[in-house]
Amino acid sequence: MHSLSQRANTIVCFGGIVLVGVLLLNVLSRAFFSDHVDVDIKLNEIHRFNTQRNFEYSFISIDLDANLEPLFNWNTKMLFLYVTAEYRTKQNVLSQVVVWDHILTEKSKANIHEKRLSKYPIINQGLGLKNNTIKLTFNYNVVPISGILTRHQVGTSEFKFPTTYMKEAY
Amino acid sequence: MDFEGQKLAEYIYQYTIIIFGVIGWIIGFIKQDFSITFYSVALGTFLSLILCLPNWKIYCQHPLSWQKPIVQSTPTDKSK
Repeated sequence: MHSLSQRANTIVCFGGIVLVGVLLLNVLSRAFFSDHVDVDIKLNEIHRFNTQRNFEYSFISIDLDANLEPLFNWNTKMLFLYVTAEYRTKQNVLSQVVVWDHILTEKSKANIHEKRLSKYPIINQGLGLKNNTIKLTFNYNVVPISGILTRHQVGTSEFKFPTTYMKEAY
Repeated sequence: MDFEGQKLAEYIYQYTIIIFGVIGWIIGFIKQDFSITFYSVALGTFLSLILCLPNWKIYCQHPLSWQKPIVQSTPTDKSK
């Protein structure tokens, strides 16, 4: 504290220490916020379902009803949302395909009521999707300002692929 | 800045930043916005820089009373 540069160093350093303390309290306060959300997800339509040589592909759209507003507290930077399709075939024990994803940064847009969402196709390695049960799951990752990223899984629904391939419309 | 002044400056910057941090945390919690807390701590740091960085007069009120320099008489002086 005897010279100008030493005082500047001490004060700025102490400001940083207090900031870390405040941040730590912020992380601890996360425990008091509820992270319960209701999510309703279901299949809207199977647009395409066909095969090519040794693989199958399908394009589906989904309906999503999700109110994610409770997840936005003061330690939430953004939410990463994605929908996975899960199925089992004889060839592979478990396959998981992301069919839709989205990055949510604003609370005002967190109330989602969307129909016919689709982004990525389901491409199956090998054959075996016919008459197979697909489990759709809604997943979200909470990306915090500080602390650890948490992963959650809510809302599932199941549907079955038809027993025959669909004719291409075009 | 004398020794008493350094002690006072240390008290001032520590309390300023901590109080700004606590108030900012509470307001940030109520408003659910962490940027308020961050700017509050930054403001507290900036304020204490203004308060404690320059050598203000209140930090110089206890100057050390140094002993008067001893005038040494050299042997050459005696001989004269």
